[in-house]
Amino acid sequence: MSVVSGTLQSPMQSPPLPGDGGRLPRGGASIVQQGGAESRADLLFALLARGAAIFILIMLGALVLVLTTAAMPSITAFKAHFLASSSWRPNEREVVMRDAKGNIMRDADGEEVTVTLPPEFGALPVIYGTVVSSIIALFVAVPLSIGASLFIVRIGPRIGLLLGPISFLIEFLAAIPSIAYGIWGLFVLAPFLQDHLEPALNAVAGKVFFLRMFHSDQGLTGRDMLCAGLILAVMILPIITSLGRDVLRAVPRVQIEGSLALGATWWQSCQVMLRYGRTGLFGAIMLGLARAAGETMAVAMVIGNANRISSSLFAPAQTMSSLLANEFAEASSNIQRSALVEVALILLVMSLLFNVIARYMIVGRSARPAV
Amino acid sequence: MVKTEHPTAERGHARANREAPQPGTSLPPIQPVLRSLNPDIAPGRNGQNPVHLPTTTPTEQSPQGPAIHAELAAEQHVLSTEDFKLHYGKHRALHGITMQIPAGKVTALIGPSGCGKSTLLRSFNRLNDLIENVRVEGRIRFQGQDIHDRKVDVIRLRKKMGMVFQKSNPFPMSILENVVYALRIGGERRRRVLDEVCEKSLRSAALWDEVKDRLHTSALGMSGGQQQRLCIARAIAAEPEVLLMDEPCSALDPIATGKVEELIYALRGKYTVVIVTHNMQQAARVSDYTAFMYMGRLVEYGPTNSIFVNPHLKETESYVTGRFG
Ligand SMILES: Nc1ncnc2c1ncn2[C@@H]1O[C@H](COP(=O)(O)OP(=O)(O)O)[C@@H](O)[C@H]1O
Ligand SMILES: [Mg+2]
Repeated sequence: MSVVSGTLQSPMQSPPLPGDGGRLPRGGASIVQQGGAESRADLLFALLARGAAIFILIMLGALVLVLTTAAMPSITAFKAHFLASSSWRPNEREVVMRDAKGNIMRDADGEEVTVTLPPEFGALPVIYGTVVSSIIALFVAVPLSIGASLFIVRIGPRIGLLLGPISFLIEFLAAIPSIAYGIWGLFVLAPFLQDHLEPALNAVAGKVFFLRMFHSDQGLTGRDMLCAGLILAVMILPIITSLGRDVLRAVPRVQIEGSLALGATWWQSCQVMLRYGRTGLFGAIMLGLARAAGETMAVAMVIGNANRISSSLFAPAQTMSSLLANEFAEASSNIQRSALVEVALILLVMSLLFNVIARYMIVGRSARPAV
Repeated sequence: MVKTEHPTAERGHARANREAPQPGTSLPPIQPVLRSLNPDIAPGRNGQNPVHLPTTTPTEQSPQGPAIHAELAAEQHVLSTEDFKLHYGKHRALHGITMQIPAGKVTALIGPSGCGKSTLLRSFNRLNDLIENVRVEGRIRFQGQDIHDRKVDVIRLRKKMGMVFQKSNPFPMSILENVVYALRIGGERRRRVLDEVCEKSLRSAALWDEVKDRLHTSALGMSGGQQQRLCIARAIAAEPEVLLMDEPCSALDPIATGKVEELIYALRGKYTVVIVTHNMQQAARVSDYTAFMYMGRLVEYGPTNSIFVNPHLKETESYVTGRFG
């Protein structure tokens, strides 16, 4: 076919082409699909894109499948109790029986009566630890990072040359390996909390009921839930800031000018920006949350690794990922390994749930940004 | 005939343009067009070609001074600029504008793209303050008060000047919340007041009947024309004294444009309107006075029908008849 692809030729100008033989109407030939190299490339690209999307879905499916299979022994052994139980007993343990009054029971020979408890696992303390440490992290990081992105977008252009270094430094925080944060947390943040912040809070907060979480009757070590939450806050700060900055930068100028022209103050016009970008900001926060919930090394170093639920933020705790980091290599039995895999599965499902809930909250509102 | 001389290269270029023979596809003569658009516009004297009247003698006027028609002197004005200059960094966008905006009238700013219409409009409510490296000289007075004075609260100034932008910019909120935004940020909480203002403003913007059943749905679900009228309603709700409009119809289809133009026409008397427009027929339809700007200068300013039918300067005539710009 010698008709040039993609050009419309008038019948006046194009003489009958040899080989066309009347199969195609003259002049109409050029808009019929030619099946040339271009369209083949299009097709290939479409297939590639679709393939990539399907591949990601398959990966996710395979991940869930493998985790579920490996967690099966634990799931069948502990069922739903796994989610509600606080015990974490990797090895069987013998305990002495006591009677109703609390006296040790003895048999006829005067020997203590003992029972052997089988290994038992419950994920409640680590679920609690993950949720609470992430909440602390968001509580600290969200206002700071949204504030920082507003600063970069609204005030940044006015500080001229300084903006570059500031932006760079904030993004550089994201590139620091988490072990470095862990070491900083262990040697700087934890001692600071132990010696200064926590004693000070302890003194006041013990007296007020709803501030109980900032109070502990145990000795303060600094390596506790609060420390983990603060480390996580520092770690998720750059990701929320840089994503938030991009979101706010994309807010149309007319939105800001529109509110200012109506007599909005600086902060009121910022609120319009935040409102316009709220879907994107929520996404940024979600990504920060996902990182906080999954972060392992730094948390394992500063959280104190105690598998129990405490109402105080000054008590050592454990998160799902720090539990996995601490115990997986040394798991002594198959059932323990299986229980740990189940914890990993719960972590996966939980982050999925976070996202679904977040989506629902956004889409559920009547007023939402265009596109 | 033209008394004012324009020695700058641009002006020379404009003149060269004007004198060049016109291709056969030039626009029809302006007067019949205008008459068909707006029967109020009277033809030139004896229906002849525009008569160029000398405004002042050359000795009394700087070579680049504008031709200001005498009718403006009889008007009360609410807003005025005195030798107002504005620089974006090193680039000077306004070269000393002196003009007065009559109260309760619709004033159109026309001129080719980039001549500084938007810049001037945005100077009135000091929206250019947001842009880095903007420097101003000269004065703008609003109700006699210099708006760049340190005593002036720019928030209060802007509350007295509603602004409608080229691209409609409803906030991502419900229709009602959009309309009452100015009240909200002023701290108004009373449901009854908000509802009343909302209805009144939407009625003035001729939008009430179209949206009264969905006041609580997102404003982003409206059509483009409705969104622009919503923005007008939002500006009116703040009860401003001046409405500044920057090409409010340029993104709208002809029907929506017609509705917005009717609305602007209906707002005369109640508000002082300053409207920037690219569309000269629109300027002819909606405005009482028209200012022609070129290259950051005010060239001619007078009653709309004299600007279109009987301009004093050749530059203005060339522009309004579509021969350049
Ligand atoms: N934010 C800005 N920064 C720098 N120059 C600008 C800016 N806005 C406008 N200008 C310049 O000022 C001149 C006038 O622009 P503008 O007022 O937007 O013209 P108009 O509205 O008449 O088309 C143009 O030369 C334009 O390039
Ligand atoms: Mg403009």
